[in-house]
Amino acid sequence: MSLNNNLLSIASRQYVYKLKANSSGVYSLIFIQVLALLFSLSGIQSMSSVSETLRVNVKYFSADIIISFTFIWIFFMSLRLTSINSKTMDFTLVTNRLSSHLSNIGLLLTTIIFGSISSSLMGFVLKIIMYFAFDRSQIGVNGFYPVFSDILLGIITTGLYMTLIASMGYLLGILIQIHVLFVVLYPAALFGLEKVNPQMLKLSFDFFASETSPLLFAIRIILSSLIVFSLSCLLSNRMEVRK
Amino acid sequence: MSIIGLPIAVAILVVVIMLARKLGTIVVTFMSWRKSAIIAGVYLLGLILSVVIAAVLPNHGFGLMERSHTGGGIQKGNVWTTSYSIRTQKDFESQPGLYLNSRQTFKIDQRAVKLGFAPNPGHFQIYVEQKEADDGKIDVSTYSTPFYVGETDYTKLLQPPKVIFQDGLLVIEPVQQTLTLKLFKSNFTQSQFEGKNAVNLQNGLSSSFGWSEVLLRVPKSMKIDKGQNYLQYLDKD
Repeated sequence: MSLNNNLLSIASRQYVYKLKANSSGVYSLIFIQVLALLFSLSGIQSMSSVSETLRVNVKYFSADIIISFTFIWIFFMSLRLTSINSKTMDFTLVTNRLSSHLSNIGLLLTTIIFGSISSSLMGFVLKIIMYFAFDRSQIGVNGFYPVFSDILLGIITTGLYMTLIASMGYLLGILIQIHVLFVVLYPAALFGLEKVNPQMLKLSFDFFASETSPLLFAIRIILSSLIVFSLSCLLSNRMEVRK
Repeated sequence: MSIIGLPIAVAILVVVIMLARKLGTIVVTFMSWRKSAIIAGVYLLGLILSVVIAAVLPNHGFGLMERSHTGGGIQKGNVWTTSYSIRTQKDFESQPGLYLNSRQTFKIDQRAVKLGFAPNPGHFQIYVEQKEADDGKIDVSTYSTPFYVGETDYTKLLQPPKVIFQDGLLVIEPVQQTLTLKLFKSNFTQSQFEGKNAVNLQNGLSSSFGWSEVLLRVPKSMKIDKGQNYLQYLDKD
Protein backbone atom coordinates (compact mmCIF):
# COMPACT_ATOMS: atom_id res chain seq x y z
CA MET A 1 0.00 0.00 0.00
CA SER A 2 2.70 2.42 1.02
CA LEU A 3 4.72 1.29 -1.98
CA ASN A 4 1.77 2.10 -4.25
CA ASN A 5 1.24 5.44 -2.56
CA ASN A 6 4.90 6.16 -2.87
CA LEU A 7 4.91 5.23 -6.55
CA LEU A 8 1.90 7.41 -7.26
CA SER A 9 3.25 10.39 -5.35
CA ILE A 10 6.62 10.08 -7.09
CA ALA A 11 4.90 9.72 -10.47
CA SER A 12 2.68 12.72 -9.81
CA ARG A 13 5.64 14.85 -8.75
CA GLN A 14 7.48 13.81 -11.89
CA TYR A 15 4.37 14.57 -13.88
CA VAL A 16 4.28 18.13 -12.56
CA TYR A 17 7.97 18.54 -13.22
CA LYS A 18 7.68 17.19 -16.77
CA LEU A 19 4.60 19.26 -17.46
CA LYS A 20 6.55 22.40 -16.62
CA ALA A 21 9.59 21.23 -18.57
CA ASN A 22 7.57 20.41 -21.69
CA SER A 23 5.30 23.43 -21.59
CA SER A 24 6.91 24.68 -24.79
CA GLY A 25 4.86 22.02 -26.60
CA VAL A 26 1.86 24.32 -26.43
CA TYR A 27 3.52 26.79 -28.81
CA SER A 28 4.25 24.13 -31.40
CA LEU A 29 0.66 22.88 -31.13
CA ILE A 30 -0.77 26.38 -31.60
CA PHE A 31 1.59 26.94 -34.54
CA ILE A 32 0.59 23.62 -36.13
CA GLN A 33 -3.11 24.27 -35.65
CA VAL A 34 -2.96 27.79 -37.07
CA LEU A 35 -1.03 26.44 -40.06
CA ALA A 36 -3.64 23.70 -40.53
CA LEU A 37 -6.37 26.33 -40.27
CA LEU A 38 -4.79 28.25 -43.16
CA PHE A 39 -4.65 25.06 -45.24
CA SER A 40 -8.28 24.30 -44.35
CA LEU A 41 -9.41 27.63 -45.79
CA SER A 42 -8.90 26.24 -49.28
CA GLY A 43 -11.22 23.32 -48.53
CA ILE A 44 -10.63 19.67 -47.89
CA GLN A 45 -12.41 18.22 -50.90
CA SER A 46 -13.77 19.63 -54.12
CA MET A 47 -15.77 18.44 -57.06
CA SER A 48 -17.01 19.83 -60.30
CA SER A 49 -19.85 18.67 -62.53
CA VAL A 50 -21.04 20.02 -65.82
CA SER A 51 -24.23 19.53 -67.77
CA GLU A 52 -25.60 21.36 -70.82
CA THR A 53 -26.81 24.30 -68.79
CA LEU A 54 -25.32 23.91 -65.37
CA ARG A 55 -21.80 23.93 -63.98
CA VAL A 56 -21.49 23.06 -60.32
CA ASN A 57 -18.34 23.63 -58.28
CA VAL A 58 -18.50 22.25 -54.76
CA LYS A 59 -15.94 22.69 -52.02
CA TYR A 60 -16.20 20.97 -48.69
CA PHE A 61 -14.84 22.46 -45.49
CA SER A 62 -14.15 20.83 -42.13
CA ALA A 63 -11.56 20.65 -39.37
CA ASP A 64 -10.17 17.35 -40.71
CA ILE A 65 -6.78 18.86 -41.61
CA ILE A 66 -6.49 20.52 -38.19
CA ILE A 67 -7.30 17.24 -36.44
CA SER A 68 -4.90 15.29 -38.67
CA PHE A 69 -2.07 17.75 -37.97
CA THR A 70 -2.80 17.44 -34.25
CA PHE A 71 -2.52 13.64 -34.59
CA ILE A 72 0.91 13.99 -36.15
CA TRP A 73 1.89 16.47 -33.44
CA ILE A 74 0.95 14.08 -30.61
CA PHE A 75 2.89 11.30 -32.34
CA PHE A 76 6.02 13.42 -32.26
CA MET A 77 5.31 14.61 -28.72
CA SER A 78 5.13 11.02 -27.48
CA LEU A 79 8.26 10.16 -29.42
CA ARG A 80 10.02 13.10 -27.82
CA LEU A 81 9.17 11.89 -24.32
CA THR A 82 11.21 8.74 -24.88
CA SER A 83 14.19 10.59 -26.35
CA ILE A 84 17.61 10.38 -24.72
CA ASN A 85 17.27 13.95 -23.42
CA SER A 86 14.07 13.11 -21.59
CA LYS A 87 15.57 9.86 -20.26
CA THR A 88 18.61 11.73 -18.99
CA MET A 89 16.31 14.24 -17.32
CA ASP A 90 14.62 11.33 -15.52
CA PHE A 91 17.89 10.49 -13.77
CA THR A 92 17.96 13.83 -12.06
CA LEU A 93 14.79 12.76 -10.25
CA VAL A 94 14.10 10.05 -7.73
CA THR A 95 12.58 7.59 -10.14
CA ASN A 96 12.13 4.11 -11.44
CA ARG A 97 11.00 2.99 -14.87
CA LEU A 98 7.37 2.55 -13.87
CA SER A 99 7.02 5.97 -12.26
CA SER A 100 8.71 7.50 -15.30
CA HIS A 101 6.24 5.79 -17.63
CA LEU A 102 3.28 6.77 -15.46
CA SER A 103 4.34 10.40 -15.43
CA ASN A 104 4.94 10.32 -19.19
CA ILE A 105 1.51 8.82 -19.80
CA GLY A 106 -0.02 11.43 -17.49
CA LEU A 107 1.70 14.16 -19.43
CA LEU A 108 0.55 12.67 -22.72
CA LEU A 109 -3.03 12.47 -21.45
CA THR A 110 -2.88 16.14 -20.47
CA THR A 111 -1.66 17.15 -23.91
CA ILE A 112 -4.27 14.86 -25.47
CA ILE A 113 -7.04 16.66 -23.57
CA PHE A 114 -5.71 20.04 -24.66
CA GLY A 115 -5.10 18.91 -28.25
CA SER A 116 -8.47 17.24 -28.69
CA ILE A 117 -10.42 20.22 -27.35
CA SER A 118 -8.44 22.78 -29.32
CA SER A 119 -8.45 20.87 -32.62
CA SER A 120 -12.18 20.19 -32.43
CA LEU A 121 -13.02 23.81 -31.57
CA MET A 122 -10.66 25.23 -34.19
CA GLY A 123 -13.28 24.25 -36.76
CA PHE A 124 -15.44 27.10 -35.49
CA VAL A 125 -12.67 29.61 -36.07
CA LEU A 126 -12.62 28.32 -39.65
CA LYS A 127 -16.38 28.83 -39.91
CA ILE A 128 -16.22 32.36 -38.48
CA ILE A 129 -13.45 33.31 -40.91
CA MET A 130 -15.53 31.90 -43.77
CA TYR A 131 -18.61 33.75 -42.53
CA PHE A 132 -16.90 37.12 -42.73
CA ALA A 133 -14.35 36.59 -45.51
CA PHE A 134 -16.25 34.54 -48.10
CA ASP A 135 -19.31 35.31 -50.19
CA ARG A 136 -21.97 34.07 -47.81
CA SER A 137 -24.48 33.46 -50.56
CA GLN A 138 -22.31 30.54 -51.67
CA ILE A 139 -22.06 28.99 -48.22
CA GLY A 140 -24.37 26.22 -47.09
CA VAL A 141 -25.83 26.83 -43.67
CA ASN A 142 -25.94 23.12 -42.89
CA GLY A 143 -23.35 22.27 -40.27
CA PHE A 144 -22.46 25.90 -39.55
CA TYR A 145 -24.10 26.24 -36.17
CA PRO A 146 -22.64 24.35 -33.20
CA VAL A 147 -24.46 21.39 -31.73
CA PHE A 148 -23.21 20.67 -28.22
CA SER A 149 -23.56 16.87 -28.41
CA ASP A 150 -21.63 16.81 -31.72
CA ILE A 151 -18.84 18.96 -30.28
CA LEU A 152 -18.57 16.70 -27.24
CA LEU A 153 -18.55 13.57 -29.37
CA GLY A 154 -15.91 15.12 -31.64
CA ILE A 155 -13.67 16.05 -28.70
CA ILE A 156 -13.93 12.60 -27.10
CA THR A 157 -13.33 10.76 -30.39
CA THR A 158 -10.37 12.98 -31.27
CA GLY A 159 -8.97 12.42 -27.79
CA LEU A 160 -9.34 8.66 -28.13
CA TYR A 161 -7.61 8.62 -31.51
CA MET A 162 -4.83 10.78 -30.08
CA THR A 163 -4.42 8.32 -27.20
CA LEU A 164 -3.93 5.45 -29.64
CA ILE A 165 -1.50 7.45 -31.78
CA ALA A 166 0.41 8.60 -28.69
CA SER A 167 0.73 5.02 -27.50
CA MET A 168 2.12 4.01 -30.89
CA GLY A 169 4.55 6.91 -30.90
CA TYR A 170 5.63 6.02 -27.38
CA LEU A 171 6.21 2.40 -28.39
CA LEU A 172 8.27 3.53 -31.37
CA GLY A 173 10.31 5.74 -29.05
CA ILE A 174 11.03 2.80 -26.74
CA LEU A 175 11.89 0.58 -29.70
CA ILE A 176 14.32 3.23 -30.96
CA GLN A 177 15.92 3.24 -27.51
CA ILE A 178 16.39 -0.52 -27.79
CA HIS A 179 17.89 -0.25 -31.25
CA VAL A 180 18.13 2.75 -33.51
CA LEU A 181 17.35 0.56 -36.52
CA PHE A 182 13.72 0.63 -35.47
CA VAL A 183 13.54 4.16 -36.89
CA VAL A 184 13.60 2.48 -40.29
CA LEU A 185 12.08 -0.86 -39.35
CA TYR A 186 8.85 0.54 -37.92
CA PRO A 187 7.67 2.41 -41.04
CA ALA A 188 9.23 -0.27 -43.27
CA ALA A 189 7.19 -2.94 -41.51
CA LEU A 190 4.02 -0.92 -42.08
CA PHE A 191 4.93 -0.26 -45.71
CA GLY A 192 5.83 -3.93 -46.24
CA LEU A 193 2.59 -5.06 -44.66
CA GLU A 194 0.69 -2.69 -46.92
CA LYS A 195 2.39 -4.25 -49.95
CA VAL A 196 2.25 -7.90 -48.85
CA ASN A 197 -1.13 -7.97 -47.20
CA PRO A 198 -3.01 -4.69 -47.73
CA GLN A 199 -6.19 -6.29 -46.51
CA MET A 200 -4.72 -6.76 -43.03
CA LEU A 201 -3.79 -3.09 -42.75
CA LYS A 202 -7.24 -2.11 -43.99
CA LEU A 203 -8.83 -4.45 -41.46
CA SER A 204 -6.84 -2.96 -38.61
CA PHE A 205 -7.77 0.54 -39.84
CA ASP A 206 -11.42 -0.43 -40.15
CA PHE A 207 -11.28 -1.98 -36.69
CA PHE A 208 -11.17 1.57 -35.32
CA ALA A 209 -12.33 3.91 -38.08
CA SER A 210 -15.38 1.97 -39.21
CA GLU A 211 -16.80 1.36 -35.78
CA THR A 212 -20.12 3.18 -35.61
CA SER A 213 -20.88 2.58 -31.94
CA PRO A 214 -19.16 5.20 -29.75
CA LEU A 215 -19.00 2.82 -26.78
CA LEU A 216 -17.42 -0.04 -28.73
CA PHE A 217 -15.05 2.42 -30.37
CA ALA A 218 -13.97 3.76 -26.97
CA ILE A 219 -13.47 0.24 -25.59
CA ARG A 220 -11.39 -0.77 -28.61
CA ILE A 221 -9.18 2.32 -28.43
CA ILE A 222 -8.69 2.19 -24.66
CA LEU A 223 -7.84 -1.52 -24.64
CA SER A 224 -5.49 -1.19 -27.63
CA SER A 225 -3.75 1.82 -26.10
CA LEU A 226 -3.38 0.00 -22.78
CA ILE A 227 -1.85 -2.98 -24.56
CA VAL A 228 0.59 -0.78 -26.51
CA PHE A 229 1.56 1.29 -23.41
CA SER A 230 2.03 -1.93 -21.40
CA LEU A 231 4.20 -3.34 -24.16
CA SER A 232 6.29 -0.17 -24.05
CA CYS A 233 6.72 -0.56 -20.27
CA LEU A 234 7.65 -4.23 -20.60
CA LEU A 235 10.15 -3.57 -23.37
CA SER A 236 11.80 -0.71 -21.50
CA ASN A 237 12.21 -2.93 -18.40
CA ARG A 238 14.49 -5.15 -20.43
CA MET A 239 16.75 -2.23 -21.29
CA GLU A 240 19.99 -1.36 -19.55
CA VAL A 241 19.72 1.14 -16.72
CA ARG A 242 20.95 4.20 -18.53
CA LYS A 243 19.85 3.52 -22.07
CA MET B 1 -3.28 12.30 -53.33
CA SER B 2 -0.71 10.62 -55.55
CA ILE B 3 1.82 8.07 -54.33
CA ILE B 4 4.57 10.70 -54.65
CA GLY B 5 2.51 13.53 -53.19
CA LEU B 6 1.77 11.78 -49.90
CA PRO B 7 5.39 11.21 -48.79
CA ILE B 8 6.25 14.76 -49.88
CA ALA B 9 3.35 16.15 -47.84
CA VAL B 10 4.38 14.07 -44.81
CA ALA B 11 8.02 15.15 -45.23
CA ILE B 12 7.00 18.82 -45.39
CA LEU B 13 4.86 18.35 -42.30
CA VAL B 14 7.70 16.67 -40.40
CA VAL B 15 9.99 19.58 -41.26
CA VAL B 16 7.29 22.04 -40.16
CA ILE B 17 6.82 20.17 -36.87
CA MET B 18 10.57 20.14 -36.26
CA LEU B 19 10.70 23.87 -36.99
CA ALA B 20 7.74 24.39 -34.68
CA ARG B 21 9.51 22.46 -31.94
CA LYS B 22 12.63 24.53 -32.50
CA LEU B 23 10.48 27.64 -32.33
CA GLY B 24 8.98 26.30 -29.10
CA THR B 25 12.45 25.78 -27.64
CA ILE B 26 13.47 29.32 -28.58
CA VAL B 27 10.27 30.76 -27.19
CA VAL B 28 10.52 28.78 -23.97
CA THR B 29 13.87 30.31 -23.18
CA PHE B 30 12.03 33.62 -22.92
CA MET B 31 8.91 32.33 -21.30
CA SER B 32 8.35 30.45 -18.10
CA TRP B 33 5.95 27.53 -17.78
CA ARG B 34 3.52 29.93 -16.08
CA LYS B 35 3.39 32.09 -19.19
CA SER B 36 2.94 28.96 -21.31
CA ALA B 37 0.05 27.89 -19.12
CA ILE B 38 -1.53 31.35 -19.42
CA ILE B 39 -1.11 31.29 -23.21
CA ALA B 40 -2.64 27.80 -23.37
CA GLY B 41 -5.56 29.01 -21.27
CA VAL B 42 -6.10 32.12 -23.36
CA TYR B 43 -5.91 30.03 -26.54
CA LEU B 44 -8.49 27.59 -25.21
CA LEU B 45 -10.69 30.44 -24.02
CA GLY B 46 -10.49 32.04 -27.44
CA LEU B 47 -11.57 28.80 -29.06
CA ILE B 48 -14.49 28.39 -26.67
CA LEU B 49 -15.45 31.98 -27.46
CA SER B 50 -15.39 31.15 -31.17
CA VAL B 51 -18.06 28.50 -30.56
CA VAL B 52 -20.22 31.09 -28.80
CA ILE B 53 -19.66 33.61 -31.61
CA ALA B 54 -20.53 30.99 -34.25
CA ALA B 55 -23.71 30.17 -32.33
CA VAL B 56 -24.95 33.76 -32.23
CA LEU B 57 -24.07 34.83 -35.77
CA PRO B 58 -27.25 35.63 -37.71
CA ASN B 59 -28.16 33.12 -40.39
CA HIS B 60 -29.34 35.61 -42.98
CA GLY B 61 -27.15 35.93 -46.01
CA PHE B 62 -26.54 32.23 -46.38
CA GLY B 63 -27.45 31.45 -49.95
CA LEU B 64 -27.86 27.78 -49.51
CA MET B 65 -30.75 26.98 -47.28
CA GLU B 66 -32.08 23.52 -47.74
CA ARG B 67 -35.49 23.09 -49.39
CA SER B 68 -38.12 21.52 -47.25
CA HIS B 69 -40.41 19.19 -49.16
CA THR B 70 -44.05 19.97 -48.69
CA GLY B 71 -45.39 17.07 -50.67
CA GLY B 72 -43.57 14.50 -48.61
CA GLY B 73 -39.87 13.86 -48.65
CA ILE B 74 -38.26 12.59 -51.78
CA GLN B 75 -35.36 10.22 -51.52
CA LYS B 76 -32.26 10.74 -53.59
CA GLY B 77 -32.87 7.38 -55.23
CA ASN B 78 -36.16 8.60 -56.68
CA VAL B 79 -34.57 11.44 -58.65
CA TRP B 80 -34.50 9.69 -61.98
CA THR B 81 -37.98 8.23 -61.73
CA THR B 82 -39.73 11.42 -60.68
CA SER B 83 -41.00 12.64 -64.03
CA TYR B 84 -41.90 9.31 -65.56
CA SER B 85 -45.07 8.99 -63.58
CA ILE B 86 -46.57 12.32 -64.75
CA ARG B 87 -49.73 11.73 -66.68
CA THR B 88 -52.07 14.50 -65.56
CA GLN B 89 -51.71 18.09 -64.40
CA LYS B 90 -52.49 16.99 -60.86
CA ASP B 91 -49.42 14.77 -60.98
CA PHE B 92 -47.30 17.90 -61.16
CA GLU B 93 -48.76 19.20 -57.94
CA SER B 94 -48.61 15.91 -56.11
CA GLN B 95 -45.14 14.95 -57.28
CA PRO B 96 -42.99 15.54 -54.18
CA GLY B 97 -39.67 15.92 -55.97
CA LEU B 98 -40.73 18.50 -58.50
CA TYR B 99 -40.09 22.13 -57.70
CA LEU B 100 -42.10 24.88 -59.36
CA ASN B 101 -39.50 27.52 -60.23
CA SER B 102 -41.44 29.86 -62.51
CA ARG B 103 -44.99 30.62 -63.66
CA GLN B 104 -45.95 32.95 -66.48
CA THR B 105 -49.17 33.74 -68.28
CA PHE B 106 -49.24 35.04 -71.85
CA LYS B 107 -52.33 36.63 -73.33
CA ILE B 108 -53.04 35.62 -76.88
CA ASP B 109 -55.06 37.17 -79.63
CA GLN B 110 -58.54 35.67 -79.50
CA ARG B 111 -58.36 35.09 -83.24
CA ALA B 112 -55.10 33.16 -83.00
CA VAL B 113 -55.71 29.50 -83.15
CA LYS B 114 -52.21 28.22 -83.65
CA LEU B 115 -49.24 27.98 -81.33
CA GLY B 116 -45.79 27.45 -82.78
CA PHE B 117 -42.59 26.40 -81.04
CA ALA B 118 -39.07 27.55 -81.62
CA PRO B 119 -36.54 24.71 -81.63
CA ASN B 120 -35.88 23.60 -78.10
CA PRO B 121 -32.12 23.74 -77.49
CA GLY B 122 -32.43 22.59 -73.90
CA HIS B 123 -34.37 19.46 -74.82
CA PHE B 124 -36.88 20.16 -72.11
CA GLN B 125 -39.71 17.80 -71.59
CA ILE B 126 -42.82 19.81 -72.49
CA TYR B 127 -46.19 18.74 -71.21
CA VAL B 128 -49.35 20.18 -72.73
CA GLU B 129 -52.76 20.31 -71.17
CA GLN B 130 -55.77 21.68 -73.01
CA LYS B 131 -58.05 23.73 -70.80
CA GLU B 132 -61.80 23.29 -70.55
CA ALA B 133 -62.43 26.77 -71.99
CA ASP B 134 -61.03 29.24 -74.52
CA ASP B 135 -59.81 31.88 -72.07
CA GLY B 136 -57.25 33.46 -74.42
CA LYS B 137 -54.31 32.69 -72.12
CA ILE B 138 -51.35 30.36 -72.21
CA ASP B 139 -50.12 29.40 -68.77
CA VAL B 140 -46.50 28.31 -68.69
CA SER B 141 -45.12 26.69 -65.55
CA THR B 142 -41.57 25.44 -65.33
CA TYR B 143 -40.56 22.76 -62.88
CA SER B 144 -37.27 21.23 -61.94
CA THR B 145 -36.54 17.68 -60.92
CA PRO B 146 -34.44 17.39 -57.75
CA PHE B 147 -30.85 18.59 -57.79
CA TYR B 148 -28.71 16.99 -55.15
CA VAL B 149 -25.16 17.48 -54.04
CA GLY B 150 -24.33 14.54 -51.83
CA GLU B 151 -27.38 14.14 -49.66
CA THR B 152 -28.54 17.75 -49.78
CA ASP B 153 -31.26 19.08 -52.04
CA TYR B 154 -30.41 22.37 -53.76
CA THR B 155 -33.19 22.39 -56.37
CA LYS B 156 -34.29 25.82 -55.18
CA LEU B 157 -31.10 27.36 -56.55
CA LEU B 158 -31.75 26.32 -60.12
CA GLN B 159 -32.78 29.06 -62.51
CA PRO B 160 -35.84 28.37 -64.64
CA PRO B 161 -35.57 28.38 -68.43
CA LYS B 162 -36.35 31.66 -70.15
CA VAL B 163 -39.81 31.66 -71.71
CA ILE B 164 -40.75 34.23 -74.40
CA PHE B 165 -43.98 34.38 -76.39
CA GLN B 166 -44.01 36.54 -79.48
CA ASP B 167 -46.08 36.50 -82.67
CA GLY B 168 -47.60 33.15 -81.87
CA LEU B 169 -44.21 31.55 -81.30
CA LEU B 170 -43.19 30.15 -77.95
CA VAL B 171 -39.46 30.20 -77.24
CA ILE B 172 -38.06 28.24 -74.32
CA GLU B 173 -34.37 28.81 -73.81
CA PRO B 174 -32.10 27.25 -71.24
CA VAL B 175 -30.24 29.60 -68.90
CA GLN B 176 -26.54 28.90 -68.48
CA GLN B 177 -25.79 28.79 -64.80
CA THR B 178 -22.70 28.29 -62.65
CA LEU B 179 -23.16 27.34 -59.03
CA THR B 180 -20.34 27.58 -56.54
CA LEU B 181 -21.15 25.85 -53.30
CA LYS B 182 -19.12 25.93 -50.13
CA LEU B 183 -20.41 23.24 -47.84
CA PHE B 184 -19.51 22.18 -44.34
CA LYS B 185 -18.77 18.56 -43.67
CA SER B 186 -18.69 16.88 -40.29
CA ASN B 187 -15.20 16.13 -39.03
CA PHE B 188 -14.29 12.51 -39.62
CA THR B 189 -14.25 12.03 -35.87
CA GLN B 190 -17.99 12.77 -35.86
CA SER B 191 -19.09 11.30 -39.18
CA GLN B 192 -17.58 7.95 -38.24
CA PHE B 193 -20.59 7.27 -36.02
CA GLU B 194 -22.94 8.01 -38.91
CA GLY B 195 -21.20 5.24 -40.85
CA LYS B 196 -19.62 7.68 -43.31
CA ASN B 197 -15.97 6.83 -42.79
CA ALA B 198 -15.98 3.76 -45.00
CA VAL B 199 -13.36 4.07 -47.72
CA ASN B 200 -15.52 5.25 -50.61
CA LEU B 201 -14.28 8.27 -52.48
CA GLN B 202 -17.60 8.77 -54.21
CA ASN B 203 -19.43 9.01 -50.91
CA GLY B 204 -20.98 12.44 -50.58
CA LEU B 205 -19.50 13.70 -53.82
CA SER B 206 -22.15 12.60 -56.26
CA SER B 207 -24.50 15.12 -57.71
CA SER B 208 -27.59 14.76 -59.83
CA PHE B 209 -28.68 17.55 -62.07
CA GLY B 210 -32.14 18.95 -61.98
CA TRP B 211 -33.85 18.75 -65.34
CA SER B 212 -36.44 21.27 -66.39
CA GLU B 213 -39.96 20.23 -67.14
CA VAL B 214 -42.36 22.70 -68.76
CA LEU B 215 -46.11 22.55 -68.36
CA LEU B 216 -48.27 24.45 -70.87
CA ARG B 217 -51.94 24.99 -70.31
CA VAL B 218 -53.46 26.18 -73.56
CA PRO B 219 -56.99 27.22 -74.56
CA LYS B 220 -59.31 24.43 -75.61
CA SER B 221 -59.44 25.12 -79.33
CA MET B 222 -55.79 26.04 -79.83
CA LYS B 223 -53.93 24.01 -82.39
CA ILE B 224 -50.30 23.31 -81.77
CA ASP B 225 -47.50 23.14 -84.26
CA LYS B 226 -44.91 21.35 -82.18
CA GLY B 227 -41.98 21.89 -84.56
CA GLN B 228 -39.03 19.71 -83.53
CA ASN B 229 -40.14 19.49 -79.94
CA TYR B 230 -41.29 16.42 -78.21
CA LEU B 231 -44.59 17.19 -76.52
CA GLN B 232 -46.49 15.01 -74.16
CA TYR B 233 -50.23 15.62 -73.92
CA LEU B 234 -51.63 15.21 -70.48
CA ASP B 235 -54.84 13.41 -69.72
CA LYS B 236 -57.73 15.45 -68.41
CA ASP B 237 -57.57 13.49 -65.08
